[in-house]
Order: sequence, then C-alpha cells, then structure tokens
Amino acid sequence: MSRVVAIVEDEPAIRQNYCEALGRYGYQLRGYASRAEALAAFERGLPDLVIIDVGLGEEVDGGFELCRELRARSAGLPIIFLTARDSDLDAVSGLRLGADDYLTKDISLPHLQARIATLFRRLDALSAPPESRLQRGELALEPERMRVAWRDAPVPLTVTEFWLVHALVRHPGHVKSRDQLMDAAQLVVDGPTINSHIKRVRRKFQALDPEFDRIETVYGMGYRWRT
Amino acid sequence: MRLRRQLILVATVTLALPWAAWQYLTELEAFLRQGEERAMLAGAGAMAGALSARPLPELPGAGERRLYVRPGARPVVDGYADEWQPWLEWTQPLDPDAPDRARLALAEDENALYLLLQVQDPRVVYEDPGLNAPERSDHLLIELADGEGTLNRYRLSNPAPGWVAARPLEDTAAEPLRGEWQDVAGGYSIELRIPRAQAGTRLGLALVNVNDPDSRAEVDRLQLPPTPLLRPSAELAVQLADLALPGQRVWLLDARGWVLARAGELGTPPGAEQGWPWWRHFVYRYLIRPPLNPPRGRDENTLRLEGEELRAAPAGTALAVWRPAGARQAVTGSAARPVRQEGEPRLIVLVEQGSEALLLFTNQALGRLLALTGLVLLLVVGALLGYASLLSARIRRLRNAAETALGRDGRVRPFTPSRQRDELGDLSRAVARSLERLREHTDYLQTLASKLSHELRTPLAVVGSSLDNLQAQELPAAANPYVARAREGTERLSRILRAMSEAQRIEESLRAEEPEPFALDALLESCVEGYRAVSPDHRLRLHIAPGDYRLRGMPELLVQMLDKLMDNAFSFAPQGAEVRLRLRRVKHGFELRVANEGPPLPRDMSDRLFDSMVSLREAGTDGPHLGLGLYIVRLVAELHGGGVQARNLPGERGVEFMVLLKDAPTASAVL
Repeated sequence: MSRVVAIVEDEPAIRQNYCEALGRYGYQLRGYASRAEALAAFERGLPDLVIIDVGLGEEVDGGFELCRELRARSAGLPIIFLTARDSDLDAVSGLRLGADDYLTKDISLPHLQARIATLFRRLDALSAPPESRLQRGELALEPERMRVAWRDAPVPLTVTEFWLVHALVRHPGHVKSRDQLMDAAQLVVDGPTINSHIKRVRRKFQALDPEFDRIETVYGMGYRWRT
Repeated sequence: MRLRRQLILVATVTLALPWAAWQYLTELEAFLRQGEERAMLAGAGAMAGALSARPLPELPGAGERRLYVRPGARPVVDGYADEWQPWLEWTQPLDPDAPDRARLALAEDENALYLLLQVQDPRVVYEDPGLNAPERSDHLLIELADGEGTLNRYRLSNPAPGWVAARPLEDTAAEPLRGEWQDVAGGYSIELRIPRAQAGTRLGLALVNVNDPDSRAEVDRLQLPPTPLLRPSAELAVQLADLALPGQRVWLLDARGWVLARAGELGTPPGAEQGWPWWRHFVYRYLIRPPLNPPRGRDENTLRLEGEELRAAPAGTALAVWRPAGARQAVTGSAARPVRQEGEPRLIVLVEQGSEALLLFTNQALGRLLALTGLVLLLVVGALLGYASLLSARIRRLRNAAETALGRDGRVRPFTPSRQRDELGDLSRAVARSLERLREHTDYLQTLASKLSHELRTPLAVVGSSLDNLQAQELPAAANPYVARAREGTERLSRILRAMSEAQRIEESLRAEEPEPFALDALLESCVEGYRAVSPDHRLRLHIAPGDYRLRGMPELLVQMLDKLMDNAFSFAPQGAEVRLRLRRVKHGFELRVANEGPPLPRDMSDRLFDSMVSLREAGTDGPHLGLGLYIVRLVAELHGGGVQARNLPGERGVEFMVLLKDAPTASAVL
C-alpha cells in the first residue's frame, strides 16, 4: 500500500507541483491550503508523513501550531518543515518542536524525495531488530534506525543532524570540512548554517551530559569528533 | 560665545542701577547742603541781630576810606619789610588814583603805631644837607589828627638811606618820629615808629616826588587826607566768641571786609584727621560735584576777607558759598549777614562752617550705595554669564549629539533627547523624533532588499518546482536545451536573491552568537595552516608578537572574518605575491594586519569600502559580487568592540587592512 503524504502549503502552484512530482514516486498525495483545512482532514485520519510550510498564509506561527497539535496526536509521525527563509531555521530550532527535518524551498525535488524515503526507512527500521551499529566510546549510532544514543540515553536528532554526526563519528579524529559535512547531510547551505547545526547538535548532547565536548571545532578547517 | 556676549550686553542694562543711585544721591546731597546753607545763614543772621542790639564802636562811614591797623606788632624798625611779610598782601595804596606808586601798612603794639611805606620811584632824590631845603627832595609829609583836628604835622626827608627822623612842623616841641629809610629795588621803603601819645585817630600822608637832582622841582604829590584808623576790637571778639557755635569760625568785618574780630575754629570730624583716601574725595568732588567757589586761604593772619558772599551781604542778599578748604580736602561753607544800625549795614558777620559732616555722610552713603549696586551688577552679570554658559553648553551638546547621531553611512545612532521642559528640550525632542523617523525609513530601505527577496522566493519556487516536473515528463529532445536554460536562469535568480538577503541574515546570525573564551594566536595559527593548503600560488607569512592573546569573543565569527580578508587578499594579489599577517597586542586590545601586494585602493572608495553592496570587483560569470565580504569583516570587528581600516601600502605597492579587537567585548556593540 502506498504511503499517504500530506502537504500543507498555501501557495497553490507550489502545492500542485509538489503533489504531482511526489505522486510520480508512488506516494498518495493530499494537499491542504490552510491549517484549518489540514486539521479538519487529520481529524478523520492521520497521514503517514506531513510536509508543512512554515509561513502558512496570514498566521506567522501557523506552521508551528500545526506541528505542535500533530505531535500531541502522534509522537512518531514524521514531520518535515519547509521554509522560504533560512532564518526561520534558527527560530524553529529554539522551539524544539520535535520535527524530523527542516528544509528550504530551494531544495530540488529529487533531494526532497530522498529525505522522504529516508524517513520512511527509519520508521520501518524501528520495528526491525538492530543490525549494524557504530560504537564510539559512550556514543552508540544505529544507521538504519537513524538513532543516536549517548551513554544509553537517546538523543533526539533530526535527519540532517543525524547525517552530520554520522559523518563526524565514522572516522573519529579526522577533521571534516564544512563542504564535506554539507555533502553528507545533502544540504546546500553556507558555512554559518553548518555552524548553527553543529551548535544545535552540541546543545542536544549537552542537555543529556553537561560535560559533553566531543565535537571539536578546528578553526579554519572544520570539525572533528574527539577521541 | 555669541549667546554669552548677547546676554552680557543685555546685562549692561543693570548699569542703570548705579547711575540711578548716583543721581539720587546727588540730589540728596544738594538738598542737605542747602539745608546747611540755610542753617549757616540763619546763624549768621541771629548773630548779626544780637550784635546790632549792642553798642558798636565808632566806625568810618561806608563811603569813607580807612586805614587798617594790625594789632600785636613785633616790629624791627630797620626799613625792611621782612617782619611784615605775612601781611604784605593787605597793604593799602596811599593814593587810590595811583595805587602802585606807594603802598602802606600799619601795625601797633601797646606803646606805638608802626608805619611801613613802600614807594616806587625810579629816581630817588635825597635831601641835600647843604641846601638846607628838605622840601626840595623826595620827602614825606605826615599829619596826625584826631576827631577834633590836627594834632601835629611832620616832615620826613633824608640825605641818605638809613636812620631817619620826621621833624614836627607845627608843634616843634614834640618829639620827632624815628624810623628807617632804605633803598629797595625800584624805589625806597620807610619804616616809622609813632608813639601812642602822638598818634591820634587819623593819619594823613603826602608823598612829594622830585626827580631831577639839579632843579629839585616837585614833580607831583600823592595825597592821603587824614583817614580814620580802623582797629580790631578785642571786646567785639569776646562778644563774638559768645555767639559762635562749636565747629564754626565767625568773623566780624567792617563794610569793606577788614577783620574786626574773629572767634571760633573750624571743627574736625572724627576720622578725618588721618586724611581720607583719594577715592573718597573722588566720589564727592567728581561724582557729586557740588558747586564750589575758588578757594581762599583764611587764617589767623588774614586781615581782610573777600568773596562773593561778602559782596552780597551789605545789600542784604543771603548767599552762602562753598569752598574747598585745606589739605583735608574738605569743603567749607561760608555765609555773611550785615549788622545794621539805623538801617545802615555797619558791620558784616561771616560764619564759616566745615561740612565734613556732610562730606562724611555723602561719601559714605554714596560709597556704600555704589558698592552695593556694583555688587548687584556683578551678581546679575555673573548669573547671566553662568546661565548663558549653561544655555550655550546645552545647545552645543544638542548640536554635537545631532551631528554624531547621523553617521556618514546614513545609519542612525542612539540619540537621547533632553527631558527638560523648555524650548531647548522641545528642540531636542523634535530632533530625536526626526532622527527616529529617519532611522525607521533607513531600516525599511535596508530591509527592503531582504523583504523583496523573500517575496520573490515563492514565485521562484513555483518556477523551480514546475521545471522539476517538466524534466520528469517525456520531452522532445529539442525541448531539453530550453529547460536547461530556464533552470540555469532560475538558479542565478536564486543566487541573486540569496545575496540580497544575506546582509540582513548575517546581521541577525551575528547577533545570535554568544562570546566564549579562546586564544586568538592559536586560532590564527590553525587558520593560516588551512589557507596555505588552499592557496599555493601565494606566499603566506605570519608573524605573531609575543603576548597574551586570551580573550572572550566569538571565534567562529572571527574565522569567518579572516576568511573574507584572506579571500580578498588572495584574489587581488598577483601570482607569487606575498600576503602577510601580523598580530600584536595594543592598548586595550589586539591588532591584526593583513597586507597583500597588488593594486592599490582607489582614493574615493576608502570610506565606503566597508559598506554592504560595495565591491571593487567587476561582475563576472562566477556570480554577482555584491560586496558583502568587507561588510562582514567590519560587522565582526565592531561586534568585538573594535573596527577595521584600510590603507594603501607606502609606494602604492599594495593594500593593508588593520583590524582592531578589544578585550571582553560587550553584546551591546553597534550592529
């Protein structure tokens, strides 16, 4: 059975384009133009994945509100935020809404599809037994399930953040440049945004362990996982 | 300064105060002086009245001549007038028609009357003893008489200067009068002693002049008919002394001003003995300027008084005059009233009074008043000056704040308006409002670019996603190039939009960073390693001066800043050229210099170099250079409490950028 993907986007042309493009990949697409419309539909039944445009219509916080309500309904539902401005990323990160990813509208459709596929794969992998597993000191990383644990406590990372950590710990001690990190996360952003991502990752680890300092900044070159 | 001058000019209006005081006091002084004059005249009048009731000595009539006899003589009968010196001022002419030919003076003691006769005669012809004709020479005829008639006549002639005797002409039994005849310059002088018994009450003289020693003819003769003798009266002096008040000097004069009696002394007020400082007299004499008559010395040797008040008295005109008197710079008032008997003015009473009391009062009063008004003036001027300084300081502060509030780059810095409620405060608040409006407008303009770009993203996303869908369709091969070109165009558009909003985003992201402790030299060293690897075409030299480079800052931002600086240096330096970095400690901070060989900066760009959207590069195919690099450098430097400057290397060999960073920057740096 094909998965149901819901897109909440007020601009009709973009919504249509995404629906048609993603439909070609075999998903069932439902498009909604406003938060009210989406909520009304979700009353009847939740989709398998929701893509929310942050700047929904007139309300500035419309997208965030929707995300919060969805999370209240289902803790495991994959949610992707789409934003037109990069600065929204910073704002959203402070809210800890529990979305699974933040992407800009610049992203190409193949990339978007790859993300969606990854999220679904992770969902499936959660029910299956763990296969490969990376252990680096107190860090445990499960690539299929896209889960990271620090001292056996799970660290809630987004997909992007997971790829960044994965790139760092695969070769601990090696310095990864920003470009390399961007490739690994399949992101097209500039240097400062990578910095913000790494900062958020650090903060999430520090929430579990205030002494966490394994991600080291090498000025002028990049980052590395300290051994 | 101009405001101050204006207010001082206004303050000079208060000069009216001392002027008013001066006017007032002058009038007051005149009033008081007139009071004193009336008092003096009244006193003189009272004295005159008292005296007129008493019997008065026999006096010559108003029309008659008189000869004044000075009492208390201590004569030296030698023919010289040395001992007459103090009184020579009052010699009387023998003949009023020829007053300069012969002048005489009379004095007496208990025993005798003394006569001094000074004669101007260019040709003195002495008696020729052989001729036995004394009348045929320059000789003097003396007539002594009393009320009834002639007592005796004498003739005085001399064969030579020296001892002389006047021989009686009628009563030859009488004693001759003895004296001295001396030659003096221009004539001769005779001093004669007349014993009291022979003197009488009248004296007549005839001076016969002979000029030619051969003919010995009488040329002319000066006549003095027997004229009554006038003497001061001790009795009157006693009466006068009774009448005089303390502090007054009273004179009793005959109708022609000859002194008959004197009593009293002009008083000295306490405190004036030491003499007053010059400025006190200045106040009285030159500021108040009482009308003063010319001074006349009147003292115990004065035999005859003169003056306006005396001339007016016999007619009955009441006149008081003031004269400066003595070394004490006082003024003396003098008033005269006639003593009448049978309706005729026989004598004159002259009262003199020092006005030191008045002088003292006015001087003190005016002095104090002037001092007080002067003080008030100074206070007013001082207060106005202070207030003007305050006002001009406030205005200057407002001007400075307004000037600095609007920077050259068009950015508006905080401007705190005044809280005072006056017009200056209103002005300040109006300026603040204008600046605020300007700032809002500038902010709006600055964010216009990013807002515009945000608006354009949505249609751009529509085009992009439509192209994606288009590419997923089966298209004829001929369509592919068009789709490719469309995609290229949208990507360029996307890059442009991103660059347009990058400035705004950067400012926001910079603001969100938090400072942490790190070491600047370690950071620089590790960065330079990376640059060396990236750019083998250039020679990179790093020099760090010894010092402590620990600070609190935002290391990631500094790396970004350094990236931009190096990027700049590498792209402008030709291949093989040198790029030099130098780090050292300076007062309160750190100085980083990045210098590269290459083309110099154009002159007119130096202050706009660090603005956003300013670029020295030409737009090329590798994307638009919207000149954000140096803008970021400046923002990061300013965030660290410092700044950045660019200059050409000496000799125009290249360009050097100097970045200043401060210790422990605060988050309130200007952004």
